[in-house]
Amino acid sequence: MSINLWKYRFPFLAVVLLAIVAGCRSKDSAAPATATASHKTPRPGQNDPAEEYCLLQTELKLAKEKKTYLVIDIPNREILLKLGGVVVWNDPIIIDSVGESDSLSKFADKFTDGNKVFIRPVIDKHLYAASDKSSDSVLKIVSEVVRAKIDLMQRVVPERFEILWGNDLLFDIRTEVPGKPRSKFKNTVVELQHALQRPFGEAHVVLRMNADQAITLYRVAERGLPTLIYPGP
Amino acid sequence: MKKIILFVILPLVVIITGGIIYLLSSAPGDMGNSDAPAFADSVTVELPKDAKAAKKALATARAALARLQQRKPYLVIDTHANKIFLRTEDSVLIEATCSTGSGGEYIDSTTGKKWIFDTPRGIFKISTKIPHPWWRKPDWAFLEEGETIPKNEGERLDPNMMGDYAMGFGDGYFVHGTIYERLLGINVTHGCVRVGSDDLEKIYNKTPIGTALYIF
Repeated sequence: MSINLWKYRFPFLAVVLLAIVAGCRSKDSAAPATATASHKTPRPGQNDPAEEYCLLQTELKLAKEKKTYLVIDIPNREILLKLGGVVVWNDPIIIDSVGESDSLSKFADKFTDGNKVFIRPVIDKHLYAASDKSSDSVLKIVSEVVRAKIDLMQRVVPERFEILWGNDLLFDIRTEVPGKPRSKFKNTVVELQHALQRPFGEAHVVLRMNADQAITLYRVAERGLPTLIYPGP
Repeated sequence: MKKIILFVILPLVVIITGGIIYLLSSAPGDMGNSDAPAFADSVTVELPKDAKAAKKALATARAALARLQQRKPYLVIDTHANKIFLRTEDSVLIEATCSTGSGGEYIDSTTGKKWIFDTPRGIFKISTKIPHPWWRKPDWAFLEEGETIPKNEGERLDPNMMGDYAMGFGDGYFVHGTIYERLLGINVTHGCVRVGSDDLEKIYNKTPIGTALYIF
């Protein structure tokens, strides 16, 4: 008995589409929404006093904890690291030519979820490629002199890495330093994930950054790092 | 043909679907796939409804945040990139390469005492400034070398190790010079912050006692 496979194309596509939608929904629902303004939420840029108050109180709380937190300053197009409310590191946001020019405003909209959420923790990061800052042979000699382990002294200089905040929010950061892929397989899986998620609203900002600055940002961006956004107009 | 659908096509559809679900639902990064830590006490605030009270609350919050800002230049030590900065909120006045703690540890096999060679992170103040500092070698410095701890205090003193200047920021930690300038940029210290002599002189001269120091 012969069966025409073409006849089954719609059920097959339906199963695949359902799977994609289910996958996306499960991820969205896990997205952390932390600092929320309990007021009617205006669009970014209206300088709503309630929105500003919520933002100020959120930052004050972070500053009092005396731990490092990240700030994405949209109006000034800058990324900052702050400690106790004081800037300890900053770098301009430079959108890479491979990225979409309006990706930052899309990111801000998605991050704030209509100016309701100003803070999200870093949930993950992925290092695509990197080089070692010091050669292992140099560090081997140094480690014998100072009696410290090589892996504690080594620093990776990222060629490309990404920081994820959940809710399909990510910064894809690229530097001028050529590096070796950490895992070609993992890189392919991650790229495939993004390719699948992009049509469902992934906010993907591709940034260009100086390698020295990228070392700091890559190392600081640990899971749970609070990230505050100053939404722009 | 039914068998082909049952045993080949259907399993393939299940595998592909499962793969897509996995790819879409798992976080793509390097930190595994556990839930992100939520902030235990989220900030949920509401501006007072009364216009006057709202204005006052807003002004108070703005002032509280402004009070945290540094009016004078402050020092920042980036232990990740091994950099030291004298900076303001808006600009970097001096940037130099330094060396910070290795994060290694030493355990004295006789007493079991343990030292962790980390540079402390947080907010500090420059509390002392010492020109031509002498290093008073702590116990670990002798134990690491396999030497016995001297009873004579004078045998602990080393006039060269700390370079030309030292700035203390509490608990025996200093920003100081080094005789190992070639190791600057690498995490090799026992917790202090080493800076090259030229940069140290510039920083020392522009850093009065009481200058805020941020280490991250």
